[in-house]
Amino acid sequence: MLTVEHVTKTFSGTAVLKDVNLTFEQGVYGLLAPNGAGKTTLMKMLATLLFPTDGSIRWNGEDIIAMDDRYRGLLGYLPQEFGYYPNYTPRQFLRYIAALQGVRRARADKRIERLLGLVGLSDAADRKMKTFSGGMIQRVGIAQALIAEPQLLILDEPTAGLDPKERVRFRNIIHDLATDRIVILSTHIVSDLETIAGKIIMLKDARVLRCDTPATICGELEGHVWEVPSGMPLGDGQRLLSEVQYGAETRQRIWSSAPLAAGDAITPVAPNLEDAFLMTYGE
Amino acid sequence: MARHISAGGKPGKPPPRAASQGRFMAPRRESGRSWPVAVWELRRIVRFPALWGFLAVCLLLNSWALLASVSGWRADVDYAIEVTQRLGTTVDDRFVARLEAEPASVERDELMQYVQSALGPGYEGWDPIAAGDRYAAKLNEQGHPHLALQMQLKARWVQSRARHLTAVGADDDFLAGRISTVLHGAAATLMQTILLESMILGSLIVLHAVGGDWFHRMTPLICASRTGRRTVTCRLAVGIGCALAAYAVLGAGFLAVWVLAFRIPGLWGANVSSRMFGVTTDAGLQPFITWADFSVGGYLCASLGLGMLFVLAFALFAGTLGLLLRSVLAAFGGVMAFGAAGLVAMMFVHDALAYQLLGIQPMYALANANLWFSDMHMHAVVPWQETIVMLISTAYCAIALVVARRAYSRKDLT
Repeated sequence: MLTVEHVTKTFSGTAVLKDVNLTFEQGVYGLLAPNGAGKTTLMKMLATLLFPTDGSIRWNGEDIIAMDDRYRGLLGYLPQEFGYYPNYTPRQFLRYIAALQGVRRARADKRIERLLGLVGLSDAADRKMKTFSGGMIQRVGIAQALIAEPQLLILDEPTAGLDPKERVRFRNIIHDLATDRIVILSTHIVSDLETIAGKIIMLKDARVLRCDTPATICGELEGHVWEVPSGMPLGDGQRLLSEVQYGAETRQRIWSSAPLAAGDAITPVAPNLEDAFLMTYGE
Repeated sequence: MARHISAGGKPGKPPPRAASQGRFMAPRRESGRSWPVAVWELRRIVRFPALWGFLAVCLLLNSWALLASVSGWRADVDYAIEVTQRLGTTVDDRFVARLEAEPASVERDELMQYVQSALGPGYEGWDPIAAGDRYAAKLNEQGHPHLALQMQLKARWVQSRARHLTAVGADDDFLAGRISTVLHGAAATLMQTILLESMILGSLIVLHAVGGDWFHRMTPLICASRTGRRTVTCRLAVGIGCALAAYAVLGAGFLAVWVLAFRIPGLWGANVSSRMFGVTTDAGLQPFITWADFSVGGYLCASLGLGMLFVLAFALFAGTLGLLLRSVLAAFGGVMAFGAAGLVAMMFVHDALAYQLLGIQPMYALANANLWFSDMHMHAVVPWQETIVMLISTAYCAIALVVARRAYSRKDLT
């Protein structure tokens, strides 16, 4: 179990995170917030790259900084900007990461073969990474995060650069992994979180706004989200969420505090996580 | 599954790190061998193509420069070889008589003139106390009476050494005859060149080892791994080791060319303090009095050893800047600026006290490379000053690196 206890992080006098309290147990947690809300800061603190200004982060009751390599040994981390050595092949790169993680060479080689297959890079295992596309690089990043069979996975924007097929593959991987470990991931692609996250953590004004299941979050908007014709004027108690395209027709998704008269043009729709995001963070 | 914890957090700053040894091996999670991280770091440096290119160019240029600088003296070198084979390597009365009996030639006449004039018969006509008094007078003019006293004390030590060298017959060694000064000058110039090359290359190697991660954005991955920030200790050790190895290659190249080019019998075993070799100073032509008995071979080896301290000091400094600055370019610029400032100070500071104080840095040794292990005239006030300065410089660079390393352990990696 990973606990974040009264954690505050300040940079040059500005609090990026204030009094954050969270508990993570087995499953997938999605961090959902706009840019600059503190998602990456929180993830970097969980990965021991940043130190809390106040508070502490604990693994099974023990401070993660004091645990040192014992904590980092059970951690798999994919940073937002994944760096690599361009002249290394994926196989060499993963062997290097395995060495850093203290994985025995013979065991590392078997895992590398399996992981390269898992992320669909078996055919490119011995090509230099400088020849790779962004999506292929990201897949190597996902593989390196899994090399030590971590109990805690921290993935910052893991689906960036992945095409839809690769994102589906990634979601399947996470589904399988989350049965017996903690996975914390942040992404701007709300639909990814909706399908794989068991809990969504939303940050606002440097604090944790809420930590709930997607169903609970979306359920609060039940009955309040409607699709209306584009250009329909909004009244009091109504807010534009987004626009959706149906062939040549553009319609608006709006939130309304009061029910609308449903008709051919105005239809109630099931709220989704994107609606919740826009309601929470929209102006 | 998740709940908010309402209380219980400890304030603050990061608690003390768990005691962890500075191991270079990745901590073992499983039983059995794992490929040491140090080997990976070494491999990364060795596969840096610019390293080999730089080394090859330096070796070629150094060899060419050395051979070119003495090419005009080839005839004298060849004559010196002939003379020592026929007449021996001790310049005594018997040597002079046999040289007079040699067939007349321009080389013979020039060598005869040099033998008879170079610093006179041994050091008997030379007065180190008078030289010391002249240096002391200059220091008094500058308003540094304490330095003047120290200089006079040093002159007495030099006199004691001169008596010892006379007693062991060191001043009678032939060395390389009349081109002894030329060969020493060429060796000193090449030594300075090798030191500068090693300083640049060594700094680049260390910065590549330590700073390359920022460039490739690998730092978060590496520091979040089990080995974590200890990786940087491993990289520093490997980088500094490689910097010293590069210097050793350049030094070995220098020695190899020197040995091949100057096979004058008896040269390597001759004492460097022979009267055949002198140094021009403010007090006129002075013998090269060393603080220990050095053969030519021993002197070159000792010089290469001191040079290794010079390279080590800059490698440590480069490591310090590599940890403190994210930009490899900025760190390299900092190292070069430190070196340039030191060299400028040594070249343009005329006040003796300022010179001594500003000289507690590696460039003092570089600027005086032609006088190492000797009394160094106005440039030193104590024996072995170049060695003491290098030891102090290396020590404070090492301390700076330790402090930077500790700061790195607690640094936010944004």
